[in-house]
Amino acid sequence: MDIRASIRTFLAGLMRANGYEGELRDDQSLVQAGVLDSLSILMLLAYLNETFGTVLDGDAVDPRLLDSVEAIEAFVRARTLALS
Amino acid sequence: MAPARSGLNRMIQRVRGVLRDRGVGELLRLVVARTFMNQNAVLSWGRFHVCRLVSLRDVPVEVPYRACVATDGDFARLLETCPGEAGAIADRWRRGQQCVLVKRGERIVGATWMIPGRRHIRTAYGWLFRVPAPGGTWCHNNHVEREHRLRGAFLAGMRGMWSLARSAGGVPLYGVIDALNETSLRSHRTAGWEVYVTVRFVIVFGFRVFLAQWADGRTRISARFAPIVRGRHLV
Repeated sequence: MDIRASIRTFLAGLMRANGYEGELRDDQSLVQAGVLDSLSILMLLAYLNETFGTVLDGDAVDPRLLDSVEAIEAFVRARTLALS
Repeated sequence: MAPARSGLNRMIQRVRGVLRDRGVGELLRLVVARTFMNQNAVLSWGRFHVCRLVSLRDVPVEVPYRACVATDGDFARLLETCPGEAGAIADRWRRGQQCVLVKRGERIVGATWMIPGRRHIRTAYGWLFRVPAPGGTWCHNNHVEREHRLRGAFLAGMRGMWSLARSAGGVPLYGVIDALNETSLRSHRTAGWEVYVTVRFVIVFGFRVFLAQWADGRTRISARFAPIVRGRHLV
């Protein structure tokens, strides 16, 4: 599965639910753009865990690691690589 | 005389801090705000939302935070956590308000105050909110330390508040969010909160006029005279 496409699909659903309008660049800050907030970051983590098997380690959750499509993709790749 | 000198020293230190960290422009803005805006109710205007939580939208993930109801043993640490609010905290405690704490280990990283069962609440800027049905709980002064935001502390706090209110038959929850605080409004909406009523207000020399617009389309104008505001939240 294309990781970036999958992430974008999930974020598109969040944006629809939050009434967010506009295009999203891959390097754009998701928190500053208002796409991610306290709970949607956790929803994203749950989705990544379910879809890619990235381990949810609460101590390691750092919102800066999930603040753009590019960063999320790097997060997933690093986690899945570490697992394999 | 000593307390006055101490107060003056604190003020000088604060002015120096603002000048150092934020510059002359911010200092001027603070002085103008203190002189003409909210602090003495000479001139102020704005908008806030009274929000309501009927059902918590939870996320099925574990977070490294836990919520608990503050006990006498937590009180001293709570004062240390928010030294600038010690007087207000002590007053709420004395009046029997409940406090839900968010903890990381034993460290307090967030708190929310809750008032169950009240039918009338004097909210931000002095607007009187009538709770539409018996049984609701008023929540206020929700706070999470900055370095713990976006990491699950907010969710832990919401779970704690919801759990406490439900067990006491105190749902829905109500609370005020300033319209300028879009980040907080967004987070609360994701958790299931909805805007129940939006209030626009103008204050001139203590005369307060409020225009309230409910989500179902009702509107109401009210006014009162209250020349002194001791805090933005009067509960």
